[in-house]
Amino acid sequence: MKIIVVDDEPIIADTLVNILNGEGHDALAVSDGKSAIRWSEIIRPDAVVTDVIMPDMDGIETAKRITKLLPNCRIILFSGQAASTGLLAKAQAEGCSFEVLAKPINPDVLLEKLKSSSQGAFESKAH
Amino acid sequence: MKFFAPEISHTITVRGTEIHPDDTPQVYLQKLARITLDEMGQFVGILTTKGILLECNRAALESCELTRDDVIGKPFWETFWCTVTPAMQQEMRKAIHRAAQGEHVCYDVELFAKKSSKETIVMDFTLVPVKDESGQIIFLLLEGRDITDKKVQEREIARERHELAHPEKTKVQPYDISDFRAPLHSRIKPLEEAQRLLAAIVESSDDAIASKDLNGIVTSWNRSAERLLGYSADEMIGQPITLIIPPELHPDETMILGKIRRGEKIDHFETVRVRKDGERIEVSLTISPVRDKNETIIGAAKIIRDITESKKIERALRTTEKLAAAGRLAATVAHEINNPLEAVTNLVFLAKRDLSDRKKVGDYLQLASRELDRVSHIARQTLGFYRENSQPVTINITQILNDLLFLYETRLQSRKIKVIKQYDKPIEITALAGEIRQAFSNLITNAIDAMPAGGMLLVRATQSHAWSNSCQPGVRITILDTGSGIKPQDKNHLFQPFFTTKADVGTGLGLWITRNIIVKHHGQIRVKSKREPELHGTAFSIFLPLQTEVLKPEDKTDTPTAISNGVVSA
Repeated sequence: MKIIVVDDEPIIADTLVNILNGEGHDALAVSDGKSAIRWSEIIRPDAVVTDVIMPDMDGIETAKRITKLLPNCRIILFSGQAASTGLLAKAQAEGCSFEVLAKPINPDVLLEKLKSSSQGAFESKAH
Repeated sequence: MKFFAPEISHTITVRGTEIHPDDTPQVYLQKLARITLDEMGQFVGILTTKGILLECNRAALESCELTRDDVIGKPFWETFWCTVTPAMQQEMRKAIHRAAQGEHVCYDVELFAKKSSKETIVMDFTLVPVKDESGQIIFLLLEGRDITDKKVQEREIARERHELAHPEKTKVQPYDISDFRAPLHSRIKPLEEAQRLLAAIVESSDDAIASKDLNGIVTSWNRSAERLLGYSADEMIGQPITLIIPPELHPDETMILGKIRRGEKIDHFETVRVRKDGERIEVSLTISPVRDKNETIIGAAKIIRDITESKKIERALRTTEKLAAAGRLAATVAHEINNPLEAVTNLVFLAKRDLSDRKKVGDYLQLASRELDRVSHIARQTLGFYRENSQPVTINITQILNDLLFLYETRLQSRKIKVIKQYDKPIEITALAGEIRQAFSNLITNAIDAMPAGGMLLVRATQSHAWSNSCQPGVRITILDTGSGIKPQDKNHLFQPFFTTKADVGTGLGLWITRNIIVKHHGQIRVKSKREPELHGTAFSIFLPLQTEVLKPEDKTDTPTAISNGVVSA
């Protein structure tokens, strides 16, 4: 599965990519939303795992744009901050809802999520 | 008889009295006496011992619209002037009788002053027996001075005093200073009246007011002081003021008396006093030197205000803000801790996966250890935040500022706020570490909140001296943002509790707490703000002395607070 991991903290993005690649995925680490969109256009990932609170473009905006670009791409958001609930509510008001996982995520749980999402059980919806 | 006559070549007439160039000295003197009498503003007349009016001056007649024919030859008590009431006529008759017996009679009497309007005036009336050479009383000289204004004032003052002294008996009337403007500017002893009035005000003030001499001996003690402290005026006057000062605070009195002797005023000195029953109350003292008429300081007047209740409320508010600040902090901390934890979780996962590769595992563990250091740094620093520490310690100002900027780093980055640090060099001061950190944290988060669309945050710490006292060394910390600035109408409310422009997230207590913390450290806080299109932003400047006296929390604030024009000195 082609996956893009977005986090402004390189150590998080890099370790996640390492874990995902070890499980046989083809993952790529980027550190901001704009790069994520650019790489999405190029490699057309099956899933994007993105942090929410990031400088410049936040994870929700990034997710919205990628969904528009690749309607079938799975989006998994993860956040360590309560402030993201405000951003999510805003996105919801604009007609987009995403599932958010709380940091720290157990990598096994993330792998399970990706497995189930590839079977269609986990959905990212864009209304 | 020696006399001086003006050189007159023709007849002159003064109010009907003609002086001719060929008048004999006797005639001339008689005419002069007549003129003197008529030109006097006072009421002057002469009566027989039976009280018949023989003569009176023009002042008595003209202003009252009377003619000589109306009054001359009549018993004085029957003249128009005296007919206000029969009782008054009777009184006048008695007075004349007493004067005729040789008594110098003096009394205030109400008389008619105008025939047409029957308006009355009050006269300070004197009846002087006039004796002939053999000592026999033959006339009574009548003198009257209009004291209506004075009487009105006296009545007014009496009424005010009565109301002040018996507020429960009289309906409350708004005190109108204009009532007293007249007496203060009038011809009659205004000072004495003003003093009596002031004494009445002091006595009935709701604030406890007392005075003492330069040895600290109580010289006055008003009713509210009796109520507040439980000692009566009799018990306190003549006693040392230290009777109401807790033993451990007795040195304060030496300080207070010292300041008073130097002519300094003490404003809103918050301290503790002891009631007669032993209960301790929190009070705010305002003490001013009292000078005698030679400007020599002879004692002190003090207003003692009970602030026990407001202090309780203030403490409750402080706790509320601490909880809210803790909540806000928790959100920030959660983010800062969860990110390293995420990394560590991943690294542990990888280490387990690559267990056979010692080199890789070593790298993962080293990274994990660095992330854990980050977590512990944040934990240590934020837990230090709310540790109640009432003892000042040596703190490094730049270290605290750096820690806070580190804590808020992601928030600053996500808002594209550029941080500029200008530090002299490591500056150490003695202060309550947790509180100083809270004060800076409040200002930094306010600055961040002021720049939702990015900007610049300038954090400067320089060695400086107190604004009000260039001899006092300390540190000046400036936190400047390039946000939209403070609205002029908000400036005067910035430091008030519950004032917030961030209705959703703010408690409105942050700046209030900040100011309290700075004041507690004998520091000062100022704010400058601009809202011009080209130049906008807000700068908070704090001065903190290098050495802060050990202050017990919520104990005292000795520094006057003035808020004017957006510049706040605390």
